[in-house]
Amino acid sequence: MYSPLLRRMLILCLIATALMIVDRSTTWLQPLRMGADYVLRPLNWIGHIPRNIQQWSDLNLASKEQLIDDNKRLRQERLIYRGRLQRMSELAAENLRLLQLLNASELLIDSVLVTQVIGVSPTPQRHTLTIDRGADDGAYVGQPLLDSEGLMGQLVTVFDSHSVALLITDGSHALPVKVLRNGVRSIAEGTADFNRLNLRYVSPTADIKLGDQLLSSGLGGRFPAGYPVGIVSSIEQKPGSVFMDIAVDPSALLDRSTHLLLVFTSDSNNRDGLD
Amino acid sequence: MDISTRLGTILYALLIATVLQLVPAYGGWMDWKPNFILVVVMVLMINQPDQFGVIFAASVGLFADGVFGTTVGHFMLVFTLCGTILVLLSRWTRYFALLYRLLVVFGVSLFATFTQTVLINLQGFSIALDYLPGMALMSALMLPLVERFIGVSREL
Repeated sequence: MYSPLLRRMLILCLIATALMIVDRSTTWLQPLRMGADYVLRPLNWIGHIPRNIQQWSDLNLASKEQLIDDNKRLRQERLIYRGRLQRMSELAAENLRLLQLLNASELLIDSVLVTQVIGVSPTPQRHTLTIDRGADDGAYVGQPLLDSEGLMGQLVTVFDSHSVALLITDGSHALPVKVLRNGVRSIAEGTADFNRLNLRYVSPTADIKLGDQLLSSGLGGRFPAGYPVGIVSSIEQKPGSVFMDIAVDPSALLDRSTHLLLVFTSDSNNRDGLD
Repeated sequence: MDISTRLGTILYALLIATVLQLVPAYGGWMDWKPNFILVVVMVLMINQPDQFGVIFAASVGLFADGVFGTTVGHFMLVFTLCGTILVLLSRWTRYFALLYRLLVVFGVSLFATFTQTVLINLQGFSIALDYLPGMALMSALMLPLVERFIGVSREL
């Protein structure tokens, strides 16, 4: 009994391994993936009904007092942000003048497109989101995604009417960052934990402190520079280790945000975005 | 129950498992989300090992790759290994009482999630192991419900 079973298992394992290699190193299986997505889309929609009902009830069954409170709070926030924006406009103009003085390259001006989360990864091992914008809206692979607090991730698969984004906390994700305080550069890697990123290969002499704010550095050309990534939450120097172990709390609300922004950087100027 | 009804029930069970798998879980809840598709496969293989073998497990694994959006072949490999273990144990598990079946499902789920993690780490991506026991425990607790739904529960 065991011999045919083990032979069968071996053949199936070899087929699975071959499929994994082909899928990781070529795009041959992309049509299959696209087909599976179309087939599973209705099931995905059904799976998200409970969440949609919750969102609908939050929106429609709120009491009048709650709506008045929300309205009041939002008006106050708007006032505060408009005040900050005035200050930002002045700083941006000053920054532009300084860049012109330094003969710096073209200043990047980003436009954004509002999008909504319509699906999340069904497994904790993959940190992905499905959003309701696709190639029809000008979305493209590698496009950065933000929420109101910071950088969320980038699009990895784009379909006609929706896209899949890989979050910055996914174990396979890494992005170049810099410290706001002094410009020290590093790489922030995902840990498959929504509340933690790791900084890799930081020497013990690097000037990084607890509470330092990290921004995207723009190196590599994938993410635009200057968007908040996270705040340094712990620094450890393990005995015998050449590098420091630095943990970062992501700024973005990766497992909570439902409304996001797709960023159209100025180097993707052939694509349309809404300001 | 005739074959077509039985096949319909199994397909329906897989469909429900897929929908449940796609229901989003947030934050800490994600660590407790069972692998519903694997539980359905295990229930069928534990209770009817003559009808559901390794090829069935591998096929559902391939389908799971589409559901989870993982690298094609990832879940196929995991399900094949789990299926082989279940076929090897089938001469005993088919006579097991519910509690022992729960333990088998817990053990195999633990093995499945551990194998998944190893496969992901082999690809050079770091991933934590914290969620393993919670997910395996919840998968085991799903067993009586799935058995009852498919109609293979011996305790009925």
